[in-house]
Amino acid sequence: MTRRVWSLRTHLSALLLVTIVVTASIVAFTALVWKVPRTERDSLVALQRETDEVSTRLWLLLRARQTRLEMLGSLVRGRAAAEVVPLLQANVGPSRQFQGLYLLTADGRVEAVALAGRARSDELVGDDLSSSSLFQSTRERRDVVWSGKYLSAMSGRNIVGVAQRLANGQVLIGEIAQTELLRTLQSAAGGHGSSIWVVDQAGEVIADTENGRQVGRFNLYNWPALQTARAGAPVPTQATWRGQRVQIVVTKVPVLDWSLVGNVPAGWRHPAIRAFVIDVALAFAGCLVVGLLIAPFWAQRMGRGVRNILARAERATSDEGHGLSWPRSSVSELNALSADLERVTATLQEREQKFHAIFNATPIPMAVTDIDNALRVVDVNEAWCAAFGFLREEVIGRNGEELGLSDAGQDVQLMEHMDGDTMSGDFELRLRDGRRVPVCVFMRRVRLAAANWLVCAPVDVGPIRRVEAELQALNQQLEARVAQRTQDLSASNAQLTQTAEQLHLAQDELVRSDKLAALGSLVAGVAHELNTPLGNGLMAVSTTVEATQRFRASMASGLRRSDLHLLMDSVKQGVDIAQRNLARAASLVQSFKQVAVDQTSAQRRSFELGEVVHEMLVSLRPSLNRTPYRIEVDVPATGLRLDSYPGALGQTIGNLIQNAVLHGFDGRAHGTVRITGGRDAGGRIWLKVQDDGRGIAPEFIERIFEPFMTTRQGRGGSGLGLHISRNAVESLLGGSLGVHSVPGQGTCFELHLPDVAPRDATDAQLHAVAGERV
Amino acid sequence: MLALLLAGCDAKAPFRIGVLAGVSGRAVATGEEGRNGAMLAVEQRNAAGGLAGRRMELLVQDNGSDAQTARTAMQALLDAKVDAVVGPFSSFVAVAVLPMADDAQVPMLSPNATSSTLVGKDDQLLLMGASTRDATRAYAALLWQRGHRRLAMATSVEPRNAVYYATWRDEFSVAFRALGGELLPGASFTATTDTVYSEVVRQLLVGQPDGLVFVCQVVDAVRLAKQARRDAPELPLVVSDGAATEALLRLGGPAVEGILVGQPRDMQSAAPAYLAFVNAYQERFGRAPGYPAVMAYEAVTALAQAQTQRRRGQSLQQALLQRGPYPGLQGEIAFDAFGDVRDGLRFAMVRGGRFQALP
Repeated sequence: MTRRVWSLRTHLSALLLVTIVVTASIVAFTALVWKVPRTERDSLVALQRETDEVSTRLWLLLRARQTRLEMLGSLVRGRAAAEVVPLLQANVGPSRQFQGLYLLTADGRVEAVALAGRARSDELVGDDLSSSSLFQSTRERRDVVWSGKYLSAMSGRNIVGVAQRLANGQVLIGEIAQTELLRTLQSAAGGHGSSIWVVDQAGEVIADTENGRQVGRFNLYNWPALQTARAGAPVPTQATWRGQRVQIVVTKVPVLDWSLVGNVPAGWRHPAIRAFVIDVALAFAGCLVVGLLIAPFWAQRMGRGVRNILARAERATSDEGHGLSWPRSSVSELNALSADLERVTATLQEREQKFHAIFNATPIPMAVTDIDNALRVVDVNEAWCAAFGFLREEVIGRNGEELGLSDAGQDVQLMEHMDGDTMSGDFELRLRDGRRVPVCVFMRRVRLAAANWLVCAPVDVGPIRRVEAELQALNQQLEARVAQRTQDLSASNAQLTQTAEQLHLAQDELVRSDKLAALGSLVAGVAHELNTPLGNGLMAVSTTVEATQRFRASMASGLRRSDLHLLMDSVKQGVDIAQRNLARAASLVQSFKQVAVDQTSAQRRSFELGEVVHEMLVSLRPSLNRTPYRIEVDVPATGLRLDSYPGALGQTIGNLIQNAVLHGFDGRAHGTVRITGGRDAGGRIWLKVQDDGRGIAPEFIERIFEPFMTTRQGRGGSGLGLHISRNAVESLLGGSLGVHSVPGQGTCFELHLPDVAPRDATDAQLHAVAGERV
Repeated sequence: MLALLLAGCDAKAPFRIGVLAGVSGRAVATGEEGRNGAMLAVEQRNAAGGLAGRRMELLVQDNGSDAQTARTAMQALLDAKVDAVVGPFSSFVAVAVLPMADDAQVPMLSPNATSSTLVGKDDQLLLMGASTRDATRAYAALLWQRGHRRLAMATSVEPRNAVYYATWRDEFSVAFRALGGELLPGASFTATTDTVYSEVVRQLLVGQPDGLVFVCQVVDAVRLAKQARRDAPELPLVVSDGAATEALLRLGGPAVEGILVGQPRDMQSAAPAYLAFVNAYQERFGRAPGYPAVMAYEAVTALAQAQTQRRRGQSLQQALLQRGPYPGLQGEIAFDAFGDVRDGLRFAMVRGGRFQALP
């Protein structure tokens, strides 16, 4: 099912109209529902009032006649006819109360008569009126009797008669013109579409408030409503009259056997209701007309703003819209819409400009063609124009075939081969100058809402193809070169491997020679230390031997006591000296032995830091004593206990001291090595070996822990000492070894050690360290 | 389906019958009776389902007391598109409106327009009663038979129905003279309130007639009768058929006792249909019907039958002439080719306040 689309104007018109119609309908319906029963009720009340009023007037009129008749009766009673006639005549006439007056004898004969408009009435005297119904009724009742309408035999007119039997039996009859009585109705004639009928005893309508339109037209004698009223029962207010529903009021006229039937049509036939309905309908129609007039006008006005925006929006994408302002109206939303569209358009234009800039700036020739229009060109960029030698204006709206770029049918074939939305392929296109160039065309189908475009980027692949060929040649050369180089490298590699092996061997050799040098130094130190006590002891023993020999010689010359005492003193002194020096030697040996044990066994034990430092100094002192350099130690003897490897630690301390002496003090006449120790804030034990030597140059300081790093190459430095020391501290002792140095001021090595060395140090590490001992 | 049929029936236009009658003024007695008769017939017919489901509708117009009013009333009926008219109730009105009925092709059934000038013409007027000529001949024959030889006639010349009275007088004169009777100089009078009836009677009595004939309306007849009873109590009185209605009895009282009247219908008939009608009429209107009521009733009955039996393409007037005879309340009613009923009069004498048929 298609959704019906209307213009805004139609929508707004419809909205306004529907609003007006619905509102008016509701108001009209409510008004009708409220008004109709109310009008019927009101008109019934009014009808009742009018009917009562007519009834009252009639009664007043009749009452006046009756009173006059009674008065006349008392005047004429018993008088002679000649006296009576003037009296009667004075009361008859067109403007008098009676149209005729008769005085009858007790048996119904006319005694005296007076008739309006009749000069001579004497021929009526003597008439027998005893058969008249009015006379008949006076026989039954003594007081005044009224007839209904009847045709007077005297006057030949329709009259209403009133009769009174006088005390002496005479009967006075008065005739009242029916028209006279009915005149009362004229002023009582109701509005509200109602009418009042005067219905006589025979059911004849004798007067109405409709100018006599109903008089004589029908007979209501047996009309149910009237029968009900005649029976004295309350008359229903609703009745049916000639098939129409009416509201009725029935009132009996006093004295006369007449009824007043007030009736008003019910429902639509009620004039007030009809007038109201017509008014409502007119108001409704008026609303509709006003709506029909206003709605399109208003909708036109409202729609104008939208149409202006639409018209402006249509121009937005074309050039003519450029610089035009956006319309504003009295509707804020439309203004907002307009402003939004303005922004959007500005953004779009900006994007379009960007796109154009990019489209034209790209060095790749690009053409946009319309697939649905035989691939005719929609747009081309500058690169395309430059590449193919056309002006943009020349190519727009023409296709490759028409431009002579491609051969007939080529484009169509191209499209047939297109699988999916993208495709690329090599072709040969003709330039404007007729040259044929190989191109690679990259194509992409662009599906737009209203168009089906193909964006083509034909790239001239001639240069690329040439470069490709060159590259291919180069590539082949390169492969050959690579093979050659690979071969050379393999040879170099073999040489290098061999060299590395040689280097390894050299390193081992170096380590071994270093170790031998250290051993030699150690042995020289030990020998030197032992030399003094052993020399002293030898000298003492030699002195004793000399004393003994001198004694022996003196004994030959005589043994003198003094000689014996001298011998004894000399022996005692000699032995004493020898003993002390031997003890000293033994102590030295013991000390060396400990160092040796520690350094060879990598034994783990608990020891004080100061102890190790001390032992290390003892072992180093012989070699240091021959130098001008001093060693200061400030390490507490106790309180810095370690569960660690004293050999490795001692070796490290020794290395650091050696390093200071060898490198820091090289070429100097003095120097002090200061060894300090303690615990830092974290509870870790630290040890500093600080010298005031020349320091380490910054370019070396990063590398001093590397193996074979030495500044004394060829002058006795192996370059392994610090490497081994750091290795031992970090891997075996679980600590760290750092250095900082200021050239010219000295170097400080700082050790941080845990109280307990790691337990998981492997044998390999131990052996490595042990093996690297220097 | 039934509802649809009923709706279809309801939707049919009613069969409209106009009643043209004098329902005001002196002729009110005849007019009301005629209207009541037609009304009763229509009511009864509608209660019995109407004309094959088509409702009958009665439109009453007062023809007033002059030709112009009568024509206006007739025009109102024609404007209301009546199918037929019952009436008028006087020859004078019939003469006035007949051209209109002829033009409109609307048949008129007049119960008591009897003027001979209307008889024997192929027009839209159908006369339900005997023509004046027939009536006067019957009157003349009866009076001759009853031994009357010298009669004096009082003729009303009121313009309202002068044509009837004049025709009646002239036709009667011709008929009575033809029998060998003598007509003494009569008297003419205009019926007004100022009419001196004693003078009229005095003129009639000048030639010492053996009977007086009153050709006038009811009220005039009553007044003349009263005067005649006073001046010549034993003189036989005869009243023309036009005044022989119930009103004569009501108004006349003892003064009309013994008066001879001719009536188009027998008011003492014992026909069951008539008796049923009288009862219904009494029930409906609270009084006894006069012959105008009877004839108007019969007119509606005839119209109803003609309408139901009417053939396609046949006018109602043709149908009325051809589909007879029609059931009257006292016997069949047959129209001749001119739409006249060649029917005699029933003569009656007022005895004890009632019309008593003569043997």
